Amino acid sequence: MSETSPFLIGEAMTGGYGKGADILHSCTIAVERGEIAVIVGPNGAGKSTAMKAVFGMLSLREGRVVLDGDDITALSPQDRVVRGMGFVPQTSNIFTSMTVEENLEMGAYIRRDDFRDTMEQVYTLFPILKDKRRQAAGELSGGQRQQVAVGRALMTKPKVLMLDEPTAGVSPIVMDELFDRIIEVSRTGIPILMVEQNARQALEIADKGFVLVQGRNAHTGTGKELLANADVRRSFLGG
Amino acid sequence: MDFLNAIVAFLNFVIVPATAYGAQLALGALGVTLIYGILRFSNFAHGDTMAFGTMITILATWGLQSLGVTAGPLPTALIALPLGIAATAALAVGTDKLVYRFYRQSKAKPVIFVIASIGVMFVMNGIVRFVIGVGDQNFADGARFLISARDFREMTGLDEGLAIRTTQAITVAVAVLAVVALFWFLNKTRTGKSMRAFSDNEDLALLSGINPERVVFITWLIVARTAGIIDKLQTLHLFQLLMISPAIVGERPTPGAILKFLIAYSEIAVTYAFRRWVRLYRPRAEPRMLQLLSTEYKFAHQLYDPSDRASVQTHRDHERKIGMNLTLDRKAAVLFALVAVLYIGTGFVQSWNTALSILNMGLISAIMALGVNIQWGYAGLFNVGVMGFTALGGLAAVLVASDPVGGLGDQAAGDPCALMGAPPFAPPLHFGAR
Repeated sequence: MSETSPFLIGEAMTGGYGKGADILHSCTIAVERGEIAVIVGPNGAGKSTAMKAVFGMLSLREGRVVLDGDDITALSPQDRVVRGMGFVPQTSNIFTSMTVEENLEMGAYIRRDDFRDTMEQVYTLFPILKDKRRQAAGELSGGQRQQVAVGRALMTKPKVLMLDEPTAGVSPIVMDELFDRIIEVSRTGIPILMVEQNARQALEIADKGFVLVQGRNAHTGTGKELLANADVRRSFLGG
Repeated sequence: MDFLNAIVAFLNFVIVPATAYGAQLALGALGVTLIYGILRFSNFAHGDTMAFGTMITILATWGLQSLGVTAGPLPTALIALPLGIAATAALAVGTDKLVYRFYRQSKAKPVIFVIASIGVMFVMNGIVRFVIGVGDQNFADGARFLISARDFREMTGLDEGLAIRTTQAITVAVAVLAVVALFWFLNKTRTGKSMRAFSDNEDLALLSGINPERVVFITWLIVARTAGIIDKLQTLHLFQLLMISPAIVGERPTPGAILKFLIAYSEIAVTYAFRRWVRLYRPRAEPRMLQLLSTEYKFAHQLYDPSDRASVQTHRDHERKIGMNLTLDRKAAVLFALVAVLYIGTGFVQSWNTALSILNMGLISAIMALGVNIQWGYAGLFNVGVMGFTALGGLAAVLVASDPVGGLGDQAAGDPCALMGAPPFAPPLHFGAR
């Protein structure tokens, strides 16, 4: 494939959960190498669904998913993890009864090589986790749990990281810190695709934004373009 | 001297047998809680899985004995044990492939698994019944005592003796080894951790590339190991082992197993007091009367078991999901006390014979209520059929508890019991040295 095609793209995806009605209608989501792409939109717009479709958690009636030039539409989520996709679900994204370090070890389960370097990198990104590495992950605060969840996904050395509302349910201060960490992860060269409720902050750090409305692409552009777009401002950003 | 004698007597009659017995319960509980923790259902067939392992070990022991192979002072059964474990592993994994996998793939609710496991229980029970029967099987050899009562008396000059059977010592040693090994496996190895991860968060375990079929496979293997080990180091105990399984619903794996030790101590302390009375009252029925007592004691425990209460706290979310909680409110406690007073009063005023039959009736009603309650809690189903089940069980229990016409395990009495799936045998108890 040419260098110009996106690293990961879910192209013209149409589908829904099980045999239910379609939730996505010819929806396209993509992320370029080294960039942050965010999916925003009103409640019920199908943001999480679009991300799950890219990850293979619902079957597409139309469209395809391409990762680094390979068509992976038919692969299961587990196989996509092996291919280099890291996914952090919105809820239940850590092993609460296990220690922080064991969570990271489980993240590296598919790797048979020495993953201590990767674990050190995760600890460098999230220093608080190193201090708490012997503590049960379920005992940590909301923001720290999200760091464990992201760290777990990083342990496979993913080629692309997908985050489903990483800041859901955390305080504004913790949210800012999490966004800073996400930018740091992105600087290590990993493309990031994430779904966000906090549209303004998300678009501020985004290279690319996708505004979905009722399962369709409503607006697509760079973060700055979308923040400047009068239509987007009026409908989602409160003027 | 009297003080020392008292301590030795207590050791001999309570601590030593209760420790061995508790080790057995702990091994059983380990397997059941592992299944509960990782596969998420209460496996009613666990007692019969153990009985199967025991049967294979006994058969292999007989084979070895007839070939003249022995382990010197240790029981020959130890050599036969690996075969028992291997056979039990094959049985467990085979059952999973034949039965449970189907339900796992269709994402069945836990209660479906429980019901399926009851079916499995009957089948396994039938296998054991066909092959070896359920009577006492003698395959013990090697040195009988680590230290006999007479040796102890001669050694110490005390009046009271202390006897420790070789089988008791081996049972405890094996249980300790099994618990330590399991702790190490679950906490230190990659596979063990992946099993805990699977138990903690199945979806995330899938995302992490953990293969659920492999986790299930390993779980059954370990369960088979603990089940195979269990016992043939002492004697067939399967009815009791069956009884503990409902009691440990909701426990966390290993701590629960250790708590079972405490129950064994208290149970032996309570039932031992009745032993001599039972012997004088109905000599031929002694083992069965004691069995009944200890079983009923366990049922009482089920209502108010400290380990269960602890687990209710830790598993509160899960319990809420399946709509089950163990509680004993003040009103019910007062009621229990009142019944106890009436019962004891009947014993003094009328006769203990009458009191015993009243107690049995009361416990039967309690067991029935328990069954209906559990079904209501789990399935939202008020099942009148529980009465039918309990009635069948009651009939079988009468056949078991009444003096047999032709001695223990009499064929004529055994056949109708077998039809009803009730054990027409009296598992021997090892309370104290005889």
